[in-house]
Amino acid sequence: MTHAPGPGSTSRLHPLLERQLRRVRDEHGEPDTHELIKLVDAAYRENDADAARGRHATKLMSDEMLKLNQALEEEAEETFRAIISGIDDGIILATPDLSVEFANTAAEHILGYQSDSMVGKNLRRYLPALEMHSGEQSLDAAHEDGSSLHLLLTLSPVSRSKIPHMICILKDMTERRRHEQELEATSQKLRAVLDNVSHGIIMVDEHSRIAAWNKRACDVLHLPADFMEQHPVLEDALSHGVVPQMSDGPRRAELIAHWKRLLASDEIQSFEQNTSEGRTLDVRVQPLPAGGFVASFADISSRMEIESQLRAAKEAAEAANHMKSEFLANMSHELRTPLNAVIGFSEAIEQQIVGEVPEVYRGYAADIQTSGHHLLSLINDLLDLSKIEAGKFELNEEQVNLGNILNVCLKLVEPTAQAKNVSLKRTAAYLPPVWVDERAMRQVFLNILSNAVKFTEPGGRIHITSILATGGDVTISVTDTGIGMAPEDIPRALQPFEQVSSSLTRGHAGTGLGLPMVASLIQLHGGDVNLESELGEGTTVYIKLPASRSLPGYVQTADQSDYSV
Amino acid sequence: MKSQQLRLQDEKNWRVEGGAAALSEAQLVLAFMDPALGEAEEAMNALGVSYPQADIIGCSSGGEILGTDVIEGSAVATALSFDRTQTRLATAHVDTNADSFRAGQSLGQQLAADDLAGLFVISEGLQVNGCELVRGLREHISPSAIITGGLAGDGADFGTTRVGANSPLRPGLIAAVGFYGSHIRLAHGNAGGWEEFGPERRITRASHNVLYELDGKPALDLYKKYLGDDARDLPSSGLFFPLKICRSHREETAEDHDAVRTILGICEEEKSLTFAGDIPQGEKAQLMMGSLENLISGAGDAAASAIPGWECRSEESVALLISCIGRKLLLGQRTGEELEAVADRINDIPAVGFYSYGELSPHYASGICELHNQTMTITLLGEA
Repeated sequence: MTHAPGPGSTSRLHPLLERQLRRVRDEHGEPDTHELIKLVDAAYRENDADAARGRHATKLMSDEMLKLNQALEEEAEETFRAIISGIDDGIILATPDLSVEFANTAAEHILGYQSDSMVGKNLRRYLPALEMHSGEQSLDAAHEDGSSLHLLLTLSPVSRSKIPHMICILKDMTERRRHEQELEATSQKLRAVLDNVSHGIIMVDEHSRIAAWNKRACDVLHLPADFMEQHPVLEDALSHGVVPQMSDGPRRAELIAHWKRLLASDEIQSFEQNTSEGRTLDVRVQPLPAGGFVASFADISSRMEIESQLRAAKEAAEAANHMKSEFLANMSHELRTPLNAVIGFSEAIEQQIVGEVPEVYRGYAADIQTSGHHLLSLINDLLDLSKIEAGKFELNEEQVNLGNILNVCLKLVEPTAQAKNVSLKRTAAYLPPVWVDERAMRQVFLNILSNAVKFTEPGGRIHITSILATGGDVTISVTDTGIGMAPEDIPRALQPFEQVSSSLTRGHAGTGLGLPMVASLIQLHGGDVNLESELGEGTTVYIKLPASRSLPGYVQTADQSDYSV
Repeated sequence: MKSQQLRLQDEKNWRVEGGAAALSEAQLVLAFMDPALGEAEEAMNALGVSYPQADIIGCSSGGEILGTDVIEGSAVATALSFDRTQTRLATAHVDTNADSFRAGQSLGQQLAADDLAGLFVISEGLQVNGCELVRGLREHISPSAIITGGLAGDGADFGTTRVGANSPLRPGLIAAVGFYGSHIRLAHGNAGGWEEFGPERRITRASHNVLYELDGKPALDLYKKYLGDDARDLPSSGLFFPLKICRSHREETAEDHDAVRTILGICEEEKSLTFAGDIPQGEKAQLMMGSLENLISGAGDAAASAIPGWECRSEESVALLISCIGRKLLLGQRTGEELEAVADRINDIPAVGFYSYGELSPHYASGICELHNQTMTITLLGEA
């Protein structure tokens, strides 16, 4: 029997069925229907199981693939946002009709709006001046806080998930523009400063090109105002500026080379150099770290002229003064000799040595004698001062006890002080023997003490102290409660012929030579005179002798405390 | 070329199919034996006696193939006598699979010749890296020489595999026979019938042939999910889902193509799966799915791809079938049907072969010999 076409038939059976038929064929080649049905049934069941397994696997697989796909999409979106967020430029993604979909952190920061609040709104709301074209555009906008923004922006179409979008890339140029404006202003100020200094300034780069200059540079170098624009080259500036009107030749080349050598210094330099016109330029050169230098030029030809005139005048004046001093010093004998006659003879008349004179003439003779003494002391002071100024005063140095001198002088002024009811007090440290001119010292103390008594009103006090410093300096101070001086008068008090004049000093006779002489004598000893004074309060005079004047071996007791005499 | 097929009757007696006398002039005998025969000394000796001029190569198997029958507990053999073709035997030894490349090189050097037309290789099945072996072989062999063969088996036990060449079977041996001259005809076909599906997954934890995690999740859970109700039949139901290893391309090795791994067992505690081959951690893997019918028709496809242009008469040809143990495990009682599917396509060419632990055959795309898993590999031999 044949239930189906056998092998070799034109249309082949399914290979499985062929195998099944083969399997159930009996020894006669006939298929056993019962067995075949069992085989086919088993194959169907197996097919069902296969199909079920396949369906199950396919379903799981598609679920898995779907999840995977979603995860990939989310990851891609996350990556996209992470990348976009990390970019310094502002990025706004919008639909083609400019409805915002996403703004990155930088965009939020630039515009001042949160991305969430921008989503769904039109981009023009934030960028009203936006133009719909791709490529860069520069526009102004307002920050959320109202401050104005200057933005550089690119608008370009992109495809996102196959949907057309616009991507807007923002750069905040506000700060930069502000910086540029500030820079421009600063640069203008600097330019104004530079153009108005008296020096011409040029900056030369390492290739000897003039990179910058001020207007004065052309003036100083006698160049046309637009010379630097036309020839920004050091060589040109030198050849027209410092060697003009010189014909080309070795001399000219040598001069230019000399200038260049001077300018190309490794260190800050300052020099004066003549131009071929005979002008003198004062030049300062500052080398630049990157090569090249900055040089400033000033024409000092006229200043040099004035300086030399002034110098000549000063020298003449000094010479004249010296001649005067010398004259006075030389004249001491001639000035004093006649006065000796006046004083001596008036004294003889007053004491009626030669014979009795009328009482009234005796009185006159006494007046002549007093005036003569006054004139003599005046002349002595003047001559001493002249001698000092003329450099002819020679110290007659010896070992002297300063305390004794001070006591002698105090004794001398004491009667006057008592007569004026001015108290004298001396508080003094141990004073070592000093190596000085005793006469000069006496003159110093007498002058100062007389002044103190003179300028102190009745009831006032005069206090004398002496201090021996650790190093050996000896300082003696005389403090009075007299009329004092204004601060601006203190320096004048030490100048000869400059007696401080005011309503308070009026009526105090004096030559104005006292203090200047004290100062000169102390200075001759290598010491100092200082004044402290307050108008109406009193004056302190400090006489300081240097340690070199103290005799060695006496100084070690210098730290003893003060004691009263 | 003349051939005769034999079947072992007991420990030492072979019977020629059809009852004919032994082809005493045979040059080459290939024998495939049940692993229970162990070293099969007597069976090998018997073949030596029957075929005194022949080189005799034998190996343990995962099941023997004779015609459309799957034979177990016995042995099959084929004796080949060539009229105008020289054959030459070469052997090499491996102690560990690290020796594989060097062994391949050695075999290639021994057999290389200008007129070498093809190579048939029977190799130790476990202590060998089939990919490295093939790479070593290819180093000295001209690309025009066809390389086919397979790895010896040990039933479904994966314990010890043995190969013998004119001697009792022993582990670690690799035997290769070269066919020389212009008269030999060789054809090959190789197909699986499996389909990959689903996403590629990263092998995040694996050690040797044990797979623990795919994409950081327990591999067993994934298998159970896909098996659904069949999960209770693990590990056998896992045979429906072999794992494809998607190797990333590496110039320096032959392992630049995919490999298929068969599930051998599972471990519930570790949620791991044990495979018949290394699972390289870090590489990608993809699940494959098979149905019995697809595997059976796949075997037919392998035969169909070998047969076009075959010019030798069927009775003067022989078909050497090497099929994967994994296919046999899945097909079970229907294993014979894949042999029938082959028989339907090869026009009564006598077929003999075995179920292997790996198949060697030129890759269908590159034409370069490679190691395969889960395929039916067919080599046709004849002379013209």
